[in-house]
Order: sequence, then C-alpha cells, then structure tokens
Amino acid sequence: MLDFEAVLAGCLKNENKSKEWVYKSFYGYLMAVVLRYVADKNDAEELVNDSFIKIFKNIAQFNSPQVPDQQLKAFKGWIARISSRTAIDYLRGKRTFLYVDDVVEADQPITEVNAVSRLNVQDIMSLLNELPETHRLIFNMYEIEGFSHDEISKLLNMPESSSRVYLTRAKNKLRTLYLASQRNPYESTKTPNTHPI
Amino acid sequence: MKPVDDELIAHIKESLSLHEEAYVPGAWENFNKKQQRKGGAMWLVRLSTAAAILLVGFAVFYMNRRPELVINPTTAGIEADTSKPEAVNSGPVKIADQLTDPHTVVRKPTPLAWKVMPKSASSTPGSVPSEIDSPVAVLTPSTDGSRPQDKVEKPSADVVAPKEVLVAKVPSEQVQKPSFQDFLNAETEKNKSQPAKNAMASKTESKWDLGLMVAPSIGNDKKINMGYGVSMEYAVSRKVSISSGISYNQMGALKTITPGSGVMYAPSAAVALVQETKTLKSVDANLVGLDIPLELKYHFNDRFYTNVGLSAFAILNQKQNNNYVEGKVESSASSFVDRSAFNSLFKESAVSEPISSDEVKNDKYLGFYNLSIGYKQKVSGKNSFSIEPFMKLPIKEYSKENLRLIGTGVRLKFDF
Repeated sequence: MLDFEAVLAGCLKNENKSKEWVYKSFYGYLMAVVLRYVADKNDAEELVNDSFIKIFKNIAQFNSPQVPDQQLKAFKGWIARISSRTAIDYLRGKRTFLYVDDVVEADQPITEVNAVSRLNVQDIMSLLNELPETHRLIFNMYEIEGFSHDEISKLLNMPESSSRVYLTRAKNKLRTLYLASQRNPYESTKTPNTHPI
Repeated sequence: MKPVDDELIAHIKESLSLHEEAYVPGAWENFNKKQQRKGGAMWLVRLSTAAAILLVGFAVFYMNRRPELVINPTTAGIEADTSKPEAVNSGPVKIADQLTDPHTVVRKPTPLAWKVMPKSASSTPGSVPSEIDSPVAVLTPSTDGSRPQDKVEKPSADVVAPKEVLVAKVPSEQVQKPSFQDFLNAETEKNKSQPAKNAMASKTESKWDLGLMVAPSIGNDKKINMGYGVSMEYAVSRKVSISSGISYNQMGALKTITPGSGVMYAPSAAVALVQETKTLKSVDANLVGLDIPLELKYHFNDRFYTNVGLSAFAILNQKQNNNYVEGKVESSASSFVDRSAFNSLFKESAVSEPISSDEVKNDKYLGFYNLSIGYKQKVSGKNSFSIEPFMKLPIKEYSKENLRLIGTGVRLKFDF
C-alpha cells in the first residue's frame, strides 16, 4: 500500500496514479454512503463519480490531522460528507414534493422493537428501499449523518416540525416493515434474511 | 430530549455506518475516460463561445457602417458589466451569512459527538474513545474486525479519556470547520443554481480588465507609426479572454513598382526619341484612424499569452503619394572647335506627387488580422504591465495600387 500522505500529495499535484489509488480504495465506501440515499445503481454511480470530481478538485481544502493514524479516518469522514451532500443535493434538485408543510403531528408511536434478529446489510437496504424518498432522506440525514432538525429544515427548505414528523414516520415504517418480515419470512422475496444474534 | 432508540434502529444505524460496497472493476477506467473527454469538450465549448462572440461582434460592426456606431460593441460590453454585480452578489452574500452564523459553524460537531457517546457507550462501551476523537468518526467507524476486542479490554481507561480529548479537540475543530463548511455550502449553492448554469460564467471577482496602451509600429515604408488607446478585456475562463478597445493609430505602407509590373507604362530611358520620361517608382500611403480590435486571448500561464483577432480600422485621414522618377533630356549648346553643337544629357530626378482625394479609394473602413504574443508582469495588486510584439495584416489590399498596410511593432500596455 502506498503511503497515504504521499497519495494525498500526489492528488494535489493531479497525478493520475494517486487519484486512481484514492478512487479504487474509497469507491466502495462512497458507494455505500450514496446507496443509503438513492436506490438506483446508475444514479448512485453517477453521484459517486460526481463526489470524486469534487474531492479531487478540492483536495487542497482537506485539513489533514497531525497524527498520522488519524489521517485516513479524517479523510474518510471528509469524503463521506462530500458524497452525502452530493446525494442530498441531487435528491433536493430532483424532488419537488419536499416543499410541503402540511405534515401533521407524528403518528402514534408503535411499540419499540428490541431484541432484534441480526439483519445483514442487504436486508437493511431492502427495508430502506421500501421507505418513501423523503422519509429515507431525513432518516439518513438525522440518524446516520448527524444533521439536526434545524439544519435539515434549512437544507431542505421545510419546517422543522415536518422534519421531525418525517423522521418518526420513517422509523415507525422501518419497525413495521421489520416486524412484517419477521412474521411472514417466506412470503416475500424482499423478506430479510435473519440471523440470531 | 431525543428518545432513546430501540435496538432495531440502533442496529440499522450501526450496520449502515460500517458497510462498504465492493469495488466494481472498470469503474476507475470509466471515470478517467469521462473526465478526459469532459476536459476536452470544455475547451471546445469555451473556444467556440469565444469564436461566436467574435463573429457576432464583427457582424454588428459591419452592419452599422456609420462611424459613431462603430463603438457600439464596446459600450454594450460595459453596460453588461455594470449590470452584473447586482445579480451575482446575491449568491456569495448568502454563503457569507451562513458562514458567519455561529450556529452552523460551531454547533455542527456537537450533535454528532454527543449523540453518539451515550448510545454507543450503552451498546458497545469500547467504541467511545475512537468515536469522540473526531465527530467525523461517526460516519467512518473502522471495518477492521480486530478493533472491538481491543476496546473491550480496557474499558475503564477509555471512559476517562473522552473528556480530555473532547476539550482538546474543540478548538481545532472550530478552526478547521469554516473552510470545510465553506466548501460544502459553496457546493450546495452551485447545485442550487444549476438550471442557470450558463450564468455561472460571471462570478464575483471582476472579470473585466481595463488598460492603457502605446503601440509604436513600423510598416513596410520603414517609418515609425504611433498608436495610443485603451483596451478592455473580459475573462471567459482562467485561460481564455476576449479583448477589445479603441486606439488612435497611424498606418503606413509603401509599394515599390518594378518596371514592367503593368502598373503604369514605364518607358525605358533607352528610348532615345522620348524627350521626357516619368516612371512611377513607388506608391506610399499614410493613414490615421481609429482601430477597434476584437481579439481572443489565450494565456499559456500567468505571464505569457497570445492574441488572435480581427480589427476594424475607421479611417479619419488618408494620404497617398506617387513617387516618380522623372527623366529629362537637357540640351545645351556647346562649341566644338568652330562648329556649333548640342550637348544632350539625360537627367533623372525624383518627384513625389500627392494623389488627389478623388482618386484615392473612398473606403471608410479597413479590416486587419491581428496576431501577437505578450509577456505580462504584475506590478501591484491588479496592476500589470505587458509587452506585446504584434503584427497587423490587412484583410484586403488598400487602394487600387494594392498597397499592403502591414504593421509590425511592440504594444506596451498598462492594465489596471
């Protein structure tokens, strides 16, 4: 493996070899980030490539930590944020239904689901794919990326209350979908495979 | 306060954060190919845009044949410039507002760090320190399988560590954050205005440059002609710009007529019977006028550039002279012994005759191809000085004598 610092320096100099290393090393990582937002593989591929264009263009802005052990981790964090922003911007540009403020109070919360069977990522992805796009977007932004409702409302141009409601609905829907899949494990092709913890 | 999530949601979060897709073979090759194609296409687009502007400018110029309208393309350019800042400014101001807002800058790491700490501490106590080190870690937990075990071995030490790390980390986060936030916001802004992508060309910084120039040149008549003017430049991209301006120029040309060229009947001096001969030796012309160029400028780097373009020359004053060699036979009486005789001498003298204004071609405009290579030296801030050897070649020949008004010289320019 190449020295990561040397790779970064190479990218700064626009060296193709370094860029290739970065691309191949982090392609899967960014693809996973983007696939949380968009289900379509082709769209996801485009977004990953857009992210890499931004990364290579702005790599000078990456503040590499002094501690060498932290460099890779910080870089991964940096590129993950770029790709999630790229995906969010893409969805925001694509959808118009986000600009609604008629979402009323959250549905009645359903029973908490604990002691869950281990789902693999494919199962989780199929659960996510069942969610409406806005629900999925807000769930990702809040739960995975750590955006606050205030930030989500500003970014998506929707009231903060709507963001909260969408999040609650997304979680409830996930629980319902999970429970349904547990009840009828052999009925649907989308049924998640479960493994006992 | 945020309610504690049940195990299902926690499990989904954890799995998604840890997950990585596999690399698809050939993805880099496709990406690389696309990028190269894009680069080439961008260059073509920019070049063709510049060429189109050049053509439109000249079309406008030739359609408005009156001298006062000649200036129109230039003034239109200035108007467009002054109207731009208002429209463009709104974007950056928004970004600046967001940046100066302390909530977006400072508060950002907090929800990430605090949200993760209690939850991950309850489920997997060992994961606390690595996640608190940097808020970014929430997104990037290591996939390395050996980590969890390491973490479990020393839980007590880990519980103390977070506070120190957190305190120490906060200032550096605050220092680093604005630039990254700035970048993300800028990207978001860019995407917002994507439908109006064409308008993106005009960004905040001034793309217009004004300059003063002096251009001594020498034509094929070997006389120095002076030119004075103002220039204006618009940067289409970092490398390519369009320049125009107006200058008061002198042009000169000389054409030597060789006998037998068919320009004028030039009898040979040897024809003894002819008493008087008048041979046209050369024709010269001097023009004074306003030169309005429209040029495409390509910057090789910060210092060297080249200019290619056309210019229209509105003639204010023109003079044309025919230079003849007059041959006369002078006879004088001479005494030779006791006979009277005539002594004949064939004398040649140069005569210059101005051509009357009726005979001079009544062209009000001339066209030139302009070529130049320049060297630009920054003096201070936006001020720069450039030296630009140039060449002006006529699009068509001037006057019925086919004079070629070629001008070669050095343009000295001061940009501000």
